[in-house]
Amino acid sequence: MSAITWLAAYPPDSSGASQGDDIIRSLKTTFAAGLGTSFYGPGSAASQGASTSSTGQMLPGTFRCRQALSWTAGLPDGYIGAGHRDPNLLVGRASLWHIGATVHLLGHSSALEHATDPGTAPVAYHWSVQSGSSVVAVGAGEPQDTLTASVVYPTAYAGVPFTHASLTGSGSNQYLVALTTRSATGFTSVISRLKAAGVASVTLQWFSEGTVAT
Amino acid sequence: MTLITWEESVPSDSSRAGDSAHIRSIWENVAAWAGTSLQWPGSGGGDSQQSAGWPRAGAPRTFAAPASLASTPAAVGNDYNGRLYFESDTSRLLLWTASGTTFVVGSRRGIHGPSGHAGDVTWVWQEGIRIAHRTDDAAVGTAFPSAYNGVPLVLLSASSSSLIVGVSSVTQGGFTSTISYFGPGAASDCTIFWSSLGTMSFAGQG
Repeated sequence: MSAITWLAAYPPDSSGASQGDDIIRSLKTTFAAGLGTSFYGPGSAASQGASTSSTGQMLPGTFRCRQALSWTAGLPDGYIGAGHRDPNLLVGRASLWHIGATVHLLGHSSALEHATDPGTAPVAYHWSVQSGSSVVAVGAGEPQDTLTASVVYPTAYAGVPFTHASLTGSGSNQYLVALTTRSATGFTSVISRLKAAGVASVTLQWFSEGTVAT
Repeated sequence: MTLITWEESVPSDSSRAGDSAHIRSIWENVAAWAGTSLQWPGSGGGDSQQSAGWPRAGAPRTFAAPASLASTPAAVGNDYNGRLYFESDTSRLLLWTASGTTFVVGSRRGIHGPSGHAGDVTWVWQEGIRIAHRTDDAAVGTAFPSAYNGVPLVLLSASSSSLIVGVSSVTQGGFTSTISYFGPGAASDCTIFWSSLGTMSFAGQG
């Protein structure tokens, strides 16, 4: 990037006609140098790394986010803003926002990511977490009694996901839950009562993580 | 895209004075040049004076190069603040800052939460370790480092093979677990490994 001299008041009315060619050439080189900072172009623009083969296209890195500590709606749709706690973005978490009629958080520096890719290129999947809970009536019965509870995922996975389940609620420490079958669309659990003094119901909470078609 | 004629050596000192074609050439070529990426009158496409100078949708570009080059960007001067860098080999999106520090703000490995939320609400994962002193049916309270917007999902495992630890209640601020002894072996203290998933306001997070 080079500094340019923009002579908006030049030439003065008193300039001679013979200076016209110099002024036009100066205008061209100055304009090309300035525009060439952000756009591909010929002449003095090309001397800054741009080329004529893609004249008019913007150079890589020309996209810049608006900056603010936080964002509120009120701009036309399509603005991308960077948010941060520190005006200099030296500490805290950086974040990316769409600012328009509504404000949406698009990504931030403390978001979770999976340790592996969701597929091979071209990637047609994304990692997805699903969770849920359901009340399971366990009722009265003898210790060692078991019952089966099945869960269907709201969205089917591309393969068999990782699934974890546990029980909550009063008396949940008196039961064991095991996952007996797992598939891309759901799982089946078996709940076993280990103490005689059972409760009417427990809540089965589950969590699954796998890839889903994008 | 239009290739333009941009000859900086003309008009020359010997050109005819008052040849207005040189001036018209500048007007025409600037419109063709700038009109590729900016809304610009005279470049076609119905652009108007009202929108003159605005970048066309999708015209501004991020940096795009392998991750190994992310710490040495192309010549952008000292003004890095707010620029974006797409790592072409990892598909991560980086945000550049004034200090040159970069932050990952997007990734193809990102994990999508169970649902989307408007505004600054995001899914947050918290986890921890709690040492519980074993007493049959004892209630053990655990507070989340940051409170959730609503009641989160809580999952846990215990270190002891003779105890079962259940979650008896969950609130926005924490959960209570209850321990039962089943044997075999001697009863002992145990370690509870817990994790939780729920929504939180981004601005309210630590």
